[in-house]
This record gives sequence, C-alpha cells and structure tokens, in this order.
Amino acid sequence: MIEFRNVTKSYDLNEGKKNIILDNVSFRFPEKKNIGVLGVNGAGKSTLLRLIAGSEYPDSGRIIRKGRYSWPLGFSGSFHGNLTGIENLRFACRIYNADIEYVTRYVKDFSELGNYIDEPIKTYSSGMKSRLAFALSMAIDFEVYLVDEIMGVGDKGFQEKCKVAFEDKRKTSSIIMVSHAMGTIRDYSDIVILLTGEHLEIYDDVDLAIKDYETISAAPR
Amino acid sequence: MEFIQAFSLQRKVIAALVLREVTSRYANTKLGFFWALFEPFAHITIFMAIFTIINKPAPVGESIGLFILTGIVPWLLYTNTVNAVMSAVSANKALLGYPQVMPLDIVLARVLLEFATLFLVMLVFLAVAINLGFSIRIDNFLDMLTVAGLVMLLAMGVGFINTAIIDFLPSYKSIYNALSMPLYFSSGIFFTMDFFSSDVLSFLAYNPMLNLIEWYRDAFYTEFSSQLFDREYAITVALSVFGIGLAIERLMRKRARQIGR
Repeated sequence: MIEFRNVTKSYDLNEGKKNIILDNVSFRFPEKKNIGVLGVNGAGKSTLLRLIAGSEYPDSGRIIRKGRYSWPLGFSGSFHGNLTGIENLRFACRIYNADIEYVTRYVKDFSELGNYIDEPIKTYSSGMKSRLAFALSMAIDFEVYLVDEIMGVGDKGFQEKCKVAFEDKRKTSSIIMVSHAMGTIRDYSDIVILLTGEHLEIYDDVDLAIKDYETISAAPR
Repeated sequence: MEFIQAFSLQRKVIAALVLREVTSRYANTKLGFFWALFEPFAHITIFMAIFTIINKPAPVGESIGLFILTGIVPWLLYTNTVNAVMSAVSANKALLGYPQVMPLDIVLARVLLEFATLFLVMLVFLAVAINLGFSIRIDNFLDMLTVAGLVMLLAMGVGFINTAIIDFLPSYKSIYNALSMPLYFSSGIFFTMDFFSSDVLSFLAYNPMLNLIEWYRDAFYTEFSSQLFDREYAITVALSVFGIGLAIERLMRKRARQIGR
C-alpha cells in the first residue's frame, strides 16, 4: 500500500526558479495492479519512482508506505563505494530480513561478477553495479518492483536473463514502471498514471492514457 | 503493534549499520583496533614524560599513567563521538537510498561503536595496569557509565549542531577545530579542578567537559572525591545541548536525505 498525502516536490533551479514536479498531491496507489507511469521529459517520472521507493523525500507532505518496495531496478545508488559487493549484499539482506546465504548464492550465480564480488564497489564499472543491483533485487523478495525504463542492464545475453527472471517475479509481485516505449507500457500495465506536470491523473484505460499522453507530448512547449 | 514493528526494524537497521562500520574500520584494516589503542597510548606517554621531566607526582593516585587514562578516555569519547556524528552522513550517504535507513540510525550506530571501542580500550589499559602491579579498585562503576552517557549526549548534540552550521558555513569546520584545542587543555585531562584558584575556576567551570572528567575520576578513584564539580550543571548542559542538537537534526533531516547532490 502506498499513499501520498499532500505531497509537494520541486527542484531548485538557477535564479531562484523552481521546477515543480508534484504540487500538493494526495493519491492512493491501487493495490496489486501493474501501474505504468507516463509523462513528458522532465515531468518527474523518475522522481516519482524515487519518492515511491523512499530514496528521496518530498518537500512537504507525507508518503505512507506499507510492504516491501524495491529500489528502481538496476539502480545502484544505494551501494556503499568502500564496501565490497558481498558486504553491500549482506547489508541489504539484514535490513530487508532476507536469507544471506540464499541471496549470496543467487547473486553470485546471476550477476556474473566472478571474483569482483569481493572487491569494493568503487572499482566496479557502472554495468557491473547495475548487474549486482538487478541480481540483488531479484534475490530479495519484493511485493512491488519499481522499474525505470525496463532492462537496460548488461549485454544482450544478460538482458535476456533479466527478462526471464523478471517474468518469473511478475507472477507473485506487481510493478510500477516508467517507460517511453508505448509497447512496453501496453504489455506490462493494467492502469496508467499520467504526469502532467504538477499533478497526476489515473487512467483505467491504458489506450486512452496513451492517446492523451501523445496529445500532450506532441503539443508545442 | 506498529510501533513495535518499527522499533524492531530500526534495531535491525542499526545492527546492520554497526556491522558495516566494524567491517570497514576494524576487519578490513590491520591498523583498525591498534589505532584505537595507540591514540590514548600516545597521549598518556607524552604526559607521563612531561610529568617526569618537571618532576611532578600524579595529582591523584600513585600512577601518572592511570591519571591521564581516566582523563583521556572520556575526552576521546567526546571528540571521537563529535567527529563520528559530523562525518556519519557523508560517509554513508549512499546507504540513505534505502528507505529504512535514517540519518539518525547511522549516527546512533557510530556512537554505539565509539562507546564500545573506548570501553574495550579502557579495559585493555586497566588490564595492562594490573599486570604492571597496580591495584585497581573502581569506586563507582555506575557513575562512570553515567558520565560516559552524558559525554556521549553532549557530543551528539555538539555534532548535530556542528553539522548544521557547516552545511551553511563550511569554514566553520576549521573554526571548530581551532576551538577544540583550548578545550582540550582546559578539560582537566592532566589536572584536577583544585589546580586552579577559585577566580580562574569560576570561569573555567563553565566547561561541561571539565566537570564531567572530574566526576569521572571521582567515580573511578576510591582515594579521590571532589567537591568542585557540579553534577546538576553537567547534566543540564549535556541534556540541553543534546535536545537542541536533536531538534536541529530533525529540521535538517530532509536536506540530508536528498541524494545525488
């Protein structure tokens, strides 16, 4: 369950201007539904996802979150650079109450990091970090997976593997997904949230949402 | 029920954070705990040398080393805690990306580790002293713990306040460092309060650390009991500074959580 209560979020721009992403939004996300998030560039889709994940805070208002929400898939920003892959993994297991042994085995096998798993994260390439983050989020059971532009992780073979693992997860978990690809949104979502800048609208009809989105994004800015 | 759940989650988070700090500070470096021992050792040796050169006996007890130890341990607990609080969030910023991890958890984990470290350090030095043939009888262990608790509260408060000031005024960091020098020399690490005339003392006694270290020694030594320190004053200052620090931390929390800038 996730609920926004009077949530306002903006970013400071130069010269005292503000880019308002959400303006006093109260909203209850439907449960056990796959939600697609649409919005033009800069409307705040990724910010919305980070607010849901809890890795960013609103300027004012409250976000009430019950249940286990993943970090945005492949997002490695929560890893501590000085700790090794394994140490970061253990930390995540402890705070998510996951079985360390199982997760370690799964991640070693899935991430294809080899001996690098025992090296500090700061020595990783961004691809390696993403692979670790992806593998870890598959190994820990989340009720809701947050996805920012699906499966951008690794080479083709790895992407295929991610897809298979993710399909398997979808049987038991729901997703909240940001994408620019209308095909992906159609495939994955039951309902759509359209970010219009400052507030959000919910559509039960995915096709209607896509039509409205295309009107907005085609409009001159 | 929800409260209990939140409490047990927070306990898990803090435990994970303590383990994370232990691995990076003690397990991954060979110097780790050795440094924790070396720092007080260096202070003790230097002051033992000075006391010997000027041919002065220990102000309390038979051992200069033990006297300095009982001053330097609370002092290090103070400065190390302040520094741990000040660098807690910047050293762990990434971990704040997990929604369960609050800045306050990181601070608490570090403060707990600081306490555990110095507790061990104290034990090691006392064991060495006993081995060297000193008889050690602790007068009031509970009072020693109370002082340690007050020192940590004071240090956390100062740490929070410093963090907030540095956020607005980065150069304050060097001002604070410059201020801690006179504080080091006036906190009673190498003297007791009766070293001063009452005029000087009436001014110096505003330093809560001077009162706390005197109290610590009063609790440690059976043969030393001081009338000069002010318990109520030390408690009031420690609690107020801690309270102000917590309030400021709460105000600054959202700022600290914004990742990526």
